[in-house]
Amino acid sequence: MVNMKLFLISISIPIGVMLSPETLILLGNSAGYNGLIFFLSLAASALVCCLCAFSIFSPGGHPEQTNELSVLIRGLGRFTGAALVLTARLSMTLLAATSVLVIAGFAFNEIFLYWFPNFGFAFLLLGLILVCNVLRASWAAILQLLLVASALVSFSILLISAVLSAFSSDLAIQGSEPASLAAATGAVLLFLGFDLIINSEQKNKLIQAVTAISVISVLFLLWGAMSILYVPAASLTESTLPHLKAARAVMGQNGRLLMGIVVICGAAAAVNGLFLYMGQTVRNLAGQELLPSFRGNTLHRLASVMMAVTIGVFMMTGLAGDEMLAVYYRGALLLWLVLLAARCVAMARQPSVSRIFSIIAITAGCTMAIASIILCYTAEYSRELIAFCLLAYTGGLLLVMAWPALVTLFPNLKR
Amino acid sequence: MRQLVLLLTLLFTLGVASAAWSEDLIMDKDALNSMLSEPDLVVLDVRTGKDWSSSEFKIKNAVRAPVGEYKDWSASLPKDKTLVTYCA
Repeated sequence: MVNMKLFLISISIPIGVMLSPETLILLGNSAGYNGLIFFLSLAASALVCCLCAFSIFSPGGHPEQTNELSVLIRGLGRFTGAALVLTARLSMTLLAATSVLVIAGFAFNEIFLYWFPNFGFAFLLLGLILVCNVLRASWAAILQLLLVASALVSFSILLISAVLSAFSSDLAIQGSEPASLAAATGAVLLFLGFDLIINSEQKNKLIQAVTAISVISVLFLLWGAMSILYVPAASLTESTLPHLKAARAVMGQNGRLLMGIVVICGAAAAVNGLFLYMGQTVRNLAGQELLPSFRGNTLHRLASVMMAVTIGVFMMTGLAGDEMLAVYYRGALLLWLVLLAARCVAMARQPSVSRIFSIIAITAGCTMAIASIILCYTAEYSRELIAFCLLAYTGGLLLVMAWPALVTLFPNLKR
Repeated sequence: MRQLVLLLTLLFTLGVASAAWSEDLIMDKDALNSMLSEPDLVVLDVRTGKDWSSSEFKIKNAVRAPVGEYKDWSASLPKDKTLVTYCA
């Protein structure tokens, strides 16, 4: 029973991140663009992510051998490796949170309570997540489980209703848009989050990652199919909220309400999941003496407060209303792909691994790297995207160098 | 002290004046709804980024006119039509 609870909590983090509203938007747009090719690209992306999970969680390996930070420090060097981890994780947490909390605020205001301010709700969600992470990490873990369960139940009701209605009526795919390489490659972004496995024994990590990828694959395949059956392809590609359009087409106002729950719970689960994982990242950084060490959970608490304040400042200063937020968010996704690619290649280069493992890890790593190059090259603002990634990495490099530099200058700080 | 009272009075007067002036320029959603079929009406959606993309409520045939790019689109607006901007 305890094992089952731990298993569910552990897998709720990757599933929560994969159910974020940004992923639902990408899913709806991709389904509209590629039609039947979408299903192939989704299946291929799921397979690549499973191979990537096999490479980074190397089931036979020692926990220290597969620790994200240790692997990259061995592969890329102390500061350069740590900077990649910090940059990818922190930029994703801050930008995804700003983006999805605003989406959740709008969903609450427009679907549930029209008089309640959207930004007020976004701040309420942020406050709830912050309080749980600061007071007790176990509360944050239980909150994660509840949010993911609510999102999955609502999503499943919508899906079952859509499938049953589809069987009883003669629905057909309405129109098709030209297939796009960027949209097909972008399917890999739908599964980002599968690597966020914490609080788990080494031997279980791969099983949990593959379970999360499988659950999301089935949900997204079905929802993608239902979206192109119920909504014309052109309408899906043009829409900024294709999931709400499809939900309304399936169940009318009740569909909107159910999708509203998925959006709000998915947004909160994504932010809470990223906060929980950042807790582990800062602990790992402190373990490598790249951040100050504190007793117990203090570092996670401090990081949570600092991240929440930054997200609050981003929201207050109007970053959500800035067109560039989409570019920065895409940049954070690309950094995540680069991180996965680097982890796979670094794992393949370890002396103790078998030849077959090495080939799988190199293949997975190269696929992730190629996906990130295609997505960067085909993006509307590729120059800004590259500039953002380089700037964020430089910032990450300075952050991981700051504490060791301070300790060198003032040795008393180490105590 | 006298200067402070003078300043506060001035600010209050300006506030009341601007509120009275803007009253004529603000339209509620019912008034706009009744005008939507008029050919002389141009609705401008000035929302940007997530403020625009996250909202389900978009007035049909509204023209996107990002508030930050005001200088680019303001010159091309027809002067003989009723212009309505909305941001929420």
